[in-house]
Amino acid sequence: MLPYVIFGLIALAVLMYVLMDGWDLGVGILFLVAPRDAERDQMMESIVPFWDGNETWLVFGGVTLFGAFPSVYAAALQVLYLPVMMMLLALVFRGISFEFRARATGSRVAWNWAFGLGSTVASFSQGMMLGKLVQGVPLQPAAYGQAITVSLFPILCGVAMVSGYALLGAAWVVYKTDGTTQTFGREVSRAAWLLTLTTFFIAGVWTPLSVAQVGRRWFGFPQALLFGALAVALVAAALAFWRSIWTSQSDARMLRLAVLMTVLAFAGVAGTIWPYALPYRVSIVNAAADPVTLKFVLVGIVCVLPLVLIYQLYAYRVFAGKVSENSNGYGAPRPPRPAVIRGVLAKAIRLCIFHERPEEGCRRVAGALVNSPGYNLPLARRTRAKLRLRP
Amino acid sequence: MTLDTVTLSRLQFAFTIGYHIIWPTYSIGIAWFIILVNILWLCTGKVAYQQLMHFWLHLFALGFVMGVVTGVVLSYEIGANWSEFSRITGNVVGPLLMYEALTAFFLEGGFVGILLFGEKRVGPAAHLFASLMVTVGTMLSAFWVLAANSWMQTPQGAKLGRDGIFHVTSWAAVIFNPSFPYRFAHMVCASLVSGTFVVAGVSAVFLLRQRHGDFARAGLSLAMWFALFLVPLQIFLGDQHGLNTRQYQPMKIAAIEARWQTGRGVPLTLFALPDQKAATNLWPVDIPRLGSVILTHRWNGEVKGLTEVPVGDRPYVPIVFFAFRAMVGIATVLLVLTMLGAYLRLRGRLFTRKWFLTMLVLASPLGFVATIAGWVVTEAGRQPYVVYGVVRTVNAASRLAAVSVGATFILFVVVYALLMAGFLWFLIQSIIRGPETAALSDPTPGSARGRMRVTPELLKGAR
Repeated sequence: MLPYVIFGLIALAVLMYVLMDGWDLGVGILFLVAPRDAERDQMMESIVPFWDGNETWLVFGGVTLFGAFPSVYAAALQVLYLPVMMMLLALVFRGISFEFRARATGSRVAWNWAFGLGSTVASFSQGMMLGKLVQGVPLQPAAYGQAITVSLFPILCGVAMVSGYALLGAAWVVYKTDGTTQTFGREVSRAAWLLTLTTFFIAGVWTPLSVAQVGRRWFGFPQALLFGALAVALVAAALAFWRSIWTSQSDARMLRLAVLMTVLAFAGVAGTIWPYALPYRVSIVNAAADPVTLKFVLVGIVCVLPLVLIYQLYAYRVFAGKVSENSNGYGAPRPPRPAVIRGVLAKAIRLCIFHERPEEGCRRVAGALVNSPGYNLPLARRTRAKLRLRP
Repeated sequence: MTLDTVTLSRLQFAFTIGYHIIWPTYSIGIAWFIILVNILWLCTGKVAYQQLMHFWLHLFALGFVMGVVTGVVLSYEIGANWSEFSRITGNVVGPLLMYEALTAFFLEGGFVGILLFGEKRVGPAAHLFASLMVTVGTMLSAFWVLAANSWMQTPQGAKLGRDGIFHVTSWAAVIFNPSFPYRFAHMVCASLVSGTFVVAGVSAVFLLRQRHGDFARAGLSLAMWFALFLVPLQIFLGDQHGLNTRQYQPMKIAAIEARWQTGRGVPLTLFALPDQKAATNLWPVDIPRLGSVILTHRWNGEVKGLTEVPVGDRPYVPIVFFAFRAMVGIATVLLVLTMLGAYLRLRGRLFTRKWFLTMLVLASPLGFVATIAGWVVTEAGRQPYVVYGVVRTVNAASRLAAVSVGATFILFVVVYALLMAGFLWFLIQSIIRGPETAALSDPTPGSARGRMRVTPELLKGAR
């Protein structure tokens, strides 16, 4: 039981990484196609306070694997030596660009490229690693990394990863910026969407055909129902994303849908690999460390991870709102929060119970809820009509 | 020396981890200074302290990001290049590194954004809290990673099973292993000393250029007070660490002293050319009996020699011997500078003696050189073992092709050299620009970090 719990937690860490570093790697990928320095500045400033915390999930996932599944950590990393090193070097370039670019005057263009290419190569390497893992890890040759074998499937996965991150990045740009940068985010998200769906589709057809285990897993009964449902949900989310690019009233909607797509795709991959810790070779139970070690790991995670989530959330809240094109990054004071988040209960009680005319108070509470940002579902529209509220 | 996979892996790991350790050292040292000036500013309201805080935050950010990007590399390099080590010690070392990521990296990553960019958003109290959290993060990181390293030096609390891997019997024994308290104290103090001399050196630059006088005097004064307390403490801690090493890793001490034969009342070899093959020293400069006095604190204390163990179990003496002398030599230089500083302060000439300020500028990188030298001593001195006395380094590496490791090693050297050039370039630029006096009345706070952007307002101004 314990190995599964911890492997689940590692999977959660990887998902957190894919989501959070996904949008900031994505912003980096979009750097390559951003029109002007003004847009690049705004894009970078929107992720500057977060990127370090986001990237920590990568470290956390890796070392938790080291702690709880040392044999997998050891085997996988030496098999994937070259893509791993490529990713690390790319992450070095990309991380350093945050500081250097902000200070550079003459060498700014160089750091633009370092950031863009670093992010792209890092994402591509992650995709390659995923591709190699899904294909199944060959163990026990004489020495790893002897020859650079070029095979198409990992490259396809690399491209899919780059486009998927670009999609998340575009949604982030729409959510966190305004003006021309936001327009750029909307424009580029269509291209990213097309590329993502195409590569995902090809990978989705190719994988079960080339890897027998995957084929059995996907099309065997009853799990085929589950994978089918995942695929349908993914397509539905993707279509909703496409529709909301130019028409959605809420800038957060695209990001929410992109997150949903990522979670669904991640669930698909996780379901494919399950129950192996090292695909098709070593199962989760066989790879686990000593129970003593696992308990020590679990105690730490259970005690500390909730705290981590709380202060990461706090950091995101401190830098809530958009990086406006007319302000200098997040330097400006925090914009006022929508009423729904803070003190809503106190206000609701005050209005509903202590108002001179309680029914008028209740109407105002409902009105505040219905008019809150991001709440424009049909139900809300009907409620609004019923309550005779102006939107 | 043949360039096989193991040697190349060692070179690559030594290079990447040695390069990395510069930045945590820098971050820990500067972070404490920032907290101090932050508190001083909130208490006294003096502008110079606020300037110091902003200026050093700006430089802190530069070193911090270097630490982050080079640190991520290490967390994966261990598995990639040392997969046998990872497999054998995973039960023990893995969770320690996981605790580092969990308790330290997340804390740093969560609050560093607020520390660097959020001052206007959260107010001074929460900003101070953020700086405290980042500092606590750096200290926790040192705690866990040094616990892991110290366990590799003085392993206990875990047994090597029949399956050839370690199994933990007591976590408390693993974490608080015999050498850990000494290594932790010595390393944290090294960081503080290094940071202090950076602050002193940069402040001295301003004084020499006769710019930002109040700001520079406040910085230099604080730094020299720090040094007066920290440098002697560090030398004391180093001595204690040495006694501990002698007890648990006698061959490391023998290599440090280039002592080949066991003896009582041994001399201190100031300088020599150790000859590994002949197991003897060429051209030794000895001080009689001092070796025993320093190492054992007794006139007639016994010091073990390298010939106690077979040739294959001896560390490579010249590296350890010279690295140790570099470290101790720098400690002596810094001690002299500190005492000179105290003397000049008594005479009221701390800020005006140009030769002294010049020496401080030259000494500012010495702390890091000493720190790296110290790590070379401790890591090269425990060879040929990776887990002292149990697992040999040659049995710890991954089965990689030498050409792959060689290629990545060259790439790391090139990339890291580029990074260092960038760091120094932007550091010097920041120093030339100096503290931003305008920032105090500047209503657009983003520019307080020197993040100039072409905004519509700026363009209007330009026209």
